[in-house]
Amino acid sequence: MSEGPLVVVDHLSRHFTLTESRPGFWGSVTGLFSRATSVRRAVDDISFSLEAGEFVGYVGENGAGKSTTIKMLTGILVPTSGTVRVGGLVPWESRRENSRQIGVVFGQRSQLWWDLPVRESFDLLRSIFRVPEGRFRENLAELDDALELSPLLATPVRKLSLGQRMRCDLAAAFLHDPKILFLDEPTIGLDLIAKDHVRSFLKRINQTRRTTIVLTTHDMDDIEALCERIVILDEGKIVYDGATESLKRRYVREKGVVVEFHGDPGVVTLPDLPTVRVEGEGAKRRFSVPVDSVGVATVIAAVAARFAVKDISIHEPKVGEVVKRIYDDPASLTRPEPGP
Amino acid sequence: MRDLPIYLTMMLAAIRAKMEYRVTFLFLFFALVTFYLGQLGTVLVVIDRFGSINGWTLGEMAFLYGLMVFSQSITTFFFASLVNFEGLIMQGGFDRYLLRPLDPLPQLIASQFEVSSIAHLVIGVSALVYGAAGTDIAWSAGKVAFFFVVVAGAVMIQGGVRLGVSAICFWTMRNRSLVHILVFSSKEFILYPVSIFNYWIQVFLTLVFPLAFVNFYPSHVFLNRDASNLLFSPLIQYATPVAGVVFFSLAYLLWRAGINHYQSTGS
Amino acid sequence: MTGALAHFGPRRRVYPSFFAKAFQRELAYKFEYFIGVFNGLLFMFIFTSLWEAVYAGPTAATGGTAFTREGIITYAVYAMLVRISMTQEESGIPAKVRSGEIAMDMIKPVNYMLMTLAETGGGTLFHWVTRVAPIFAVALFAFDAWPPSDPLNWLMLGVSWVFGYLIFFYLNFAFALLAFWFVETFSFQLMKFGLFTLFAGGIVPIDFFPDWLQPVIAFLPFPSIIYVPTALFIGHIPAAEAGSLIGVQVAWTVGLGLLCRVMWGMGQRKLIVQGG
Repeated sequence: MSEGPLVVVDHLSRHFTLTESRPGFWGSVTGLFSRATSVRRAVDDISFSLEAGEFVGYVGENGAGKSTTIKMLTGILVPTSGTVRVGGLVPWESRRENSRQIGVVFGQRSQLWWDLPVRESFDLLRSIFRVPEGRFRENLAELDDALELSPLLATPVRKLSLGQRMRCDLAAAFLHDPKILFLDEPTIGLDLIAKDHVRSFLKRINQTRRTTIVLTTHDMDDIEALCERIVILDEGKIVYDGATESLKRRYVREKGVVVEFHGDPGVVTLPDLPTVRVEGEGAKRRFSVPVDSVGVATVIAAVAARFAVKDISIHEPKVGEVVKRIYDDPASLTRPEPGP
Repeated sequence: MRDLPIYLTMMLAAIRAKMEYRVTFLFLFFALVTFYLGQLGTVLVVIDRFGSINGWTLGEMAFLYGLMVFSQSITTFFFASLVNFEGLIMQGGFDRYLLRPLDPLPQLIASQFEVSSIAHLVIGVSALVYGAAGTDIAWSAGKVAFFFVVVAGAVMIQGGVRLGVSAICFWTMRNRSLVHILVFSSKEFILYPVSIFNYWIQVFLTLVFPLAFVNFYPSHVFLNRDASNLLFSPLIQYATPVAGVVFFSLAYLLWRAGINHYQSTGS
Repeated sequence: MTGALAHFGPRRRVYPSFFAKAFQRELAYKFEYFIGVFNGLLFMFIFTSLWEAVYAGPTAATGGTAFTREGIITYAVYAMLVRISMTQEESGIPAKVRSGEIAMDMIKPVNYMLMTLAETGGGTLFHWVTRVAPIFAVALFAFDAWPPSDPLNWLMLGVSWVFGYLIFFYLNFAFALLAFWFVETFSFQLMKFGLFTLFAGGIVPIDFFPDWLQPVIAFLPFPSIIYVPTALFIGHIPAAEAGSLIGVQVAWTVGLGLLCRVMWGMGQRKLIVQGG
């Protein structure tokens, strides 16, 4: 058993040659005979590594290179340059061996047999991945417990709701005890309860089995709820790789403190803290606190010292807002951090 | 080959999946019979008017047709999933086969069961029986054995066509027209004795796209037809198994190259 | 009154744009294109070879029909051109019914059948320019089948082709609409295709069928699609009979058009009542 990271991605690049179709009627007629081409760098010299048991959010806008990376990590696609090791294997060279140590779930496409009862799909996967009978039973029992599969097992997959199908697809991906799981939009189209179900399962399995999970999603609530680490991709390059918390800390210039008073306090000012803005009127006011210069606690203390306070809540920006800001202005990440 | 039991399990699952739709199943069966009777009808109409086509009588034509459809039924049984391979590539379904610790081709073969193979079987056997009865074939043990070898070769040729055409998808993404012309339209060639075509087409159907081996050449053996005027050598009437092995091997090489290309472009 | 007219104004411009879109979509794939042209020539080659062989046989003659060797070769070439010139996407409607997407078409403020006809027409015009024309050009030299020079033949072709095409369209449309009542329509379409292959005259002209069968075939819509336009064009059927044959075509067009209307209405009601 080799020590070190489970996944190592080293200067990985993948370029595609695109054919451009010309617009309009004559464009398509001449396109019958010749087409212009251009090169797109879908993944552009990225490096990162994953330790066993990590739960990583891999995010970026459409076309940022997320699924291209996943394809290379799973061995479906060969890179233009750079290397990848997953559990010591180069995925595209040892595709079949690699497939035993990975699980893949696509939110949009089921890997189950559409017309067969769920249970039969599981049995088929058991033979395909050569899972020993005993291990298979243990796994199924555990997954059933976590995902409440029993009532679904006899149903043909085509008759399942989206949420039910996703539960079964998640179970299917874990039957062969993968070391690493790739999830592509697992909560897309699910209602809130089903989303919650999926999230708590993923959290649990990540903790109990120490399965490394790579989650690509557009749903920032997924990331917020699950991922300690986040890798943000923009136009094929990694623009952020680090703890989800520190991304917030780094990006959050302001926090909001919402204070509810006993009655309308009239004009509210904090003379000692001139950088804090006060908004709103009546019994409920919002204090915008620039975290670089003022502590939230200082503000609360100052407010409580001068007014009768009924309730206080602190509003932190969500990861989603932060990531959206990065999409809008990727260069902001490379700007030097403001001094302390 | 140690994976064989897995593939058999998958194939049984595919058959069970189709059985979920029993009514559709029966319906499709009858539709296919109608469809093939329509095809056969055009040949029958011509024979009815002219007595024979290029010296082939009704019974002989039936045998020719039967051999084609019978071998097609077995081809369809194994290679059904390759007919709409384009969809599998475009919607990313093929990736799923690459994410399993198995070879993708046998997975594909085992992934789908096609009702039309049963319809083909019924039509093919009927035509063969009718043709054999109408031509007084003297069946010997040798001929019966040769029949099965011929069918194996014919399946390899037709399966090779499907495999090669699917492999093209790895480069072009789309191959629907190609499937249409090479898998379906091309059968129109061997609905008739290949001898009705000019010399170069006969060469083409022998050396390049060897459909003539599916039914035309081997029929000479079974029907005791004069083989002295056949292309190249009278021995060609026995050559179907060889042609099958060679053609399928070439198609398989193309398929391998295609998968490599797919993994290097990810298109 | 004015309201209805105002509604009609913008509507009329809608159909040409469906038409143009379909046209461009078709052009997007060049590989498919060359294969398509080749496919047409291939069939022409196979059937002319068949007739050459049959007419060279010992029983020779004409099989008791009015077709000479040259006549039947010409027929085979032009019947194939007519067949290629009619195209239709048949899986679209059943797929939309299954997915429920058809409801989106029902709420569009256009007549769905006309919209489909316009779209199909766009695809067909594409085939005229890019497939029928080149295949025609090659066929002229390869199969020695010059078209008649009399403008009357061209006129008869034009008129009977349009009605043949409408029959072809409505027939396919009607079969596609069966998707409202049946989960799987592929089987129906397959049966229809089998009958079309045999009775439309695309491969074997109706004259060759047994004498007892010919009157039966005359009662089917299929010969109106390929046999009638082709036979009128190459002069196999004298111009004097054109009127009555085109009359039959018109009757089929109207009948099938009405059938489609009724089926569409019933399907729509079924969808509303049962929610798909």
